[in-house]
Amino acid sequence: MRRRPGISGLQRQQAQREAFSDLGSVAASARQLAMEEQLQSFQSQLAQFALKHRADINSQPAFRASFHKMCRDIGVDPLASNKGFWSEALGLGEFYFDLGVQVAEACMASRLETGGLIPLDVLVRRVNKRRGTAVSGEVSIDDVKQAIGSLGKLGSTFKLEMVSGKYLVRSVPGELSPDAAAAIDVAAQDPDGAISEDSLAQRFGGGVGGLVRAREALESFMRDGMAWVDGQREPGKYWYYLPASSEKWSEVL
Amino acid sequence: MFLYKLTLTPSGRPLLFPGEVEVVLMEATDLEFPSGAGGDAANPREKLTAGVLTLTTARILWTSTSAGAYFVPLPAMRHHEELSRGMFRTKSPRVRFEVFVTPDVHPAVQPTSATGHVVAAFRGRAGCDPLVASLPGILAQRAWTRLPPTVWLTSPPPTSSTTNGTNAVTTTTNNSSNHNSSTAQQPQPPSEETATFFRASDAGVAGILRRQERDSAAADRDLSEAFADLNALKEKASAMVSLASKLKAAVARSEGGADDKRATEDVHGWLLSLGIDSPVTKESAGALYHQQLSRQLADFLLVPPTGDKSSHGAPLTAAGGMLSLVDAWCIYNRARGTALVSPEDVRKACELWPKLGIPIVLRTFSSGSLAVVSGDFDDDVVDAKLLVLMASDDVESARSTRPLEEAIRLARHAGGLRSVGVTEAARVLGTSLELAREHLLCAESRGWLCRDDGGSGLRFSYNFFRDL
Repeated sequence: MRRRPGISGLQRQQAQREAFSDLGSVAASARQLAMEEQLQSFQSQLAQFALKHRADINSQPAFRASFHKMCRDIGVDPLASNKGFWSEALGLGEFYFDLGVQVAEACMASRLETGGLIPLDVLVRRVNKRRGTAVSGEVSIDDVKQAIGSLGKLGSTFKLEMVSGKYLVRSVPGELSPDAAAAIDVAAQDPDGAISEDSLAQRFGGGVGGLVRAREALESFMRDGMAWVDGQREPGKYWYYLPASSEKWSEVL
Repeated sequence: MFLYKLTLTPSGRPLLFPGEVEVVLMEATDLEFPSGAGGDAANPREKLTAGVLTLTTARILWTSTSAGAYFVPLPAMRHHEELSRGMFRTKSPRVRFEVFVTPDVHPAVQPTSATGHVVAAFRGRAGCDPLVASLPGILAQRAWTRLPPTVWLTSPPPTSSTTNGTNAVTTTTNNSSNHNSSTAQQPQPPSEETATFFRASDAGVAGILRRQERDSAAADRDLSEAFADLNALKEKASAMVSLASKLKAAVARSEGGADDKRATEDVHGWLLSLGIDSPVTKESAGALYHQQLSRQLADFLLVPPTGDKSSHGAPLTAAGGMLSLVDAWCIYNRARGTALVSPEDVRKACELWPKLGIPIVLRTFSSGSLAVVSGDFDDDVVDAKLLVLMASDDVESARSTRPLEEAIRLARHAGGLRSVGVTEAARVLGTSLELAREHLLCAESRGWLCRDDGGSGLRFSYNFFRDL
């Protein structure tokens, strides 16, 4: 570019630079938009193919590898089988294996927050979110229960536990003591999903005995990493949030 | 006819190139070398017996427990034919491969005109049919051309020897006339994507914009063509794979993403990133299914994936030496993509580990839960460590391995006054909390420890009752 002397020259240069950068950002955003559209159409078509042509894809080893790679990159769950379709084509076994993988995965992904104990309805919501339900359809609570049942051959790690009329899914070894079950029930009834030693002691009839039982129950949750502690809700007192009781705790965090 | 040496994984499966896929496995296969001893150049043999022959998209592999492991590159394959089984079909089915002999360099790098023969004799129940049925399709696909040429260089070529050279020459003299008709060695014309031309209309800002539009339109067209039907997608598979990673990179750059969403995606992404290109399936492995599955599962759990950017390492190591069987099943299936294995099959595969000499154990805990545990846990060693920990709070000293008797002496001397919780045990054993807890309970059931289930949680002391 030729050097222009004087203020007007500088101003012209400045204006030119701005014009270029404006054009650049317009072009970049247009490009971004086009790519996002392509990504979306790629996703939905890939999901449909995974659903429709699974048997064909599986029977061709070389193609299966590239198909899997596409799914991985584009963020499509290749296990998007759909109950209606599979029951017609292959029997339901396959559908529940798929769902079993997704359920086990959802449990693993949430284990850091929940310690491995999660309400069944919360789990179903998460599974549906991970499945990307546009193509494959939503799964029901019964489906997930059935899928957990189909994991029985892998040992009794995965268990459904019933606490005051609600199902919990346990994905780590262990058992729920009656006192711990009571704690989950008490926490579920609190408007914030919180529980303290005092509020649990009331359930156990109060007094020193109740307090000791409550402390033990809450500490066992802490040991297993199944509770979050809040020291600021009330001065000088700890409140606990149990992910196993409800999802309310996640809003408080 | 000397063969390339094949590298094996720790569990004894062939180490595949990235992107190489197993097509079919044939059990009880012999290799014969009609033109003189062959196989390993250092130790030539008339024939190699009782191995597993594997056809992949790039090679023919042959593995055995006693006679080594070798491969023939498919790009070096000139011709193959099924041999006659004799008048009464009494002989085992045999297939003869005519292969370009390449004494010094890799066939994909520099073809030579000399050829040699390898005959595979199939003594398994399936005969040679599965191989003969899939070989032409695999040769036609030429999937090896999509592998980076450097993969071949990782396997040293068979050492050249004069005897080999003469063998090769004698076998070729009679058909040297039609070498040129071979299709396997044609150099690839440069593909259209790589050849970019500069056009005058692409110059300047308007040109850049125009080119960008054109690229985007081309991608759109590719997408709609590729997803017309399954065959179209198959043909365009590699283009689509690269488009997928391009789109992923572009969108990832623009999205900051909400924090909680990213946290879950991270786990998801990690699980998906451990991809297995060539999962063992019933179709490909046939009668060898459970045995091969067992080996592949072990490799998957123990060997960190190559080219892994994140430093998670192998799944079992990342989990501190123990994974519940459900988690292992889930991660393994995720890595396999759509070719799922049922819980029963995975369990059977795990139960084969001791038989195959693989250092992972399927353990049943008292709660009835099953876990895969890396096999370097010896009960005596674990007990000794725990007992030393009962004697003093010196974690460093407890970590060192020592004989059980000495540990008992130390613990007895300390008198059972110290107690140990799960967290401390986990620190000493270097395991996850769940595994440490199980180890403590096992040591208790063997009579070394006594539990103290009180106000400060589950703790264990030395069981001094055994000395009374």
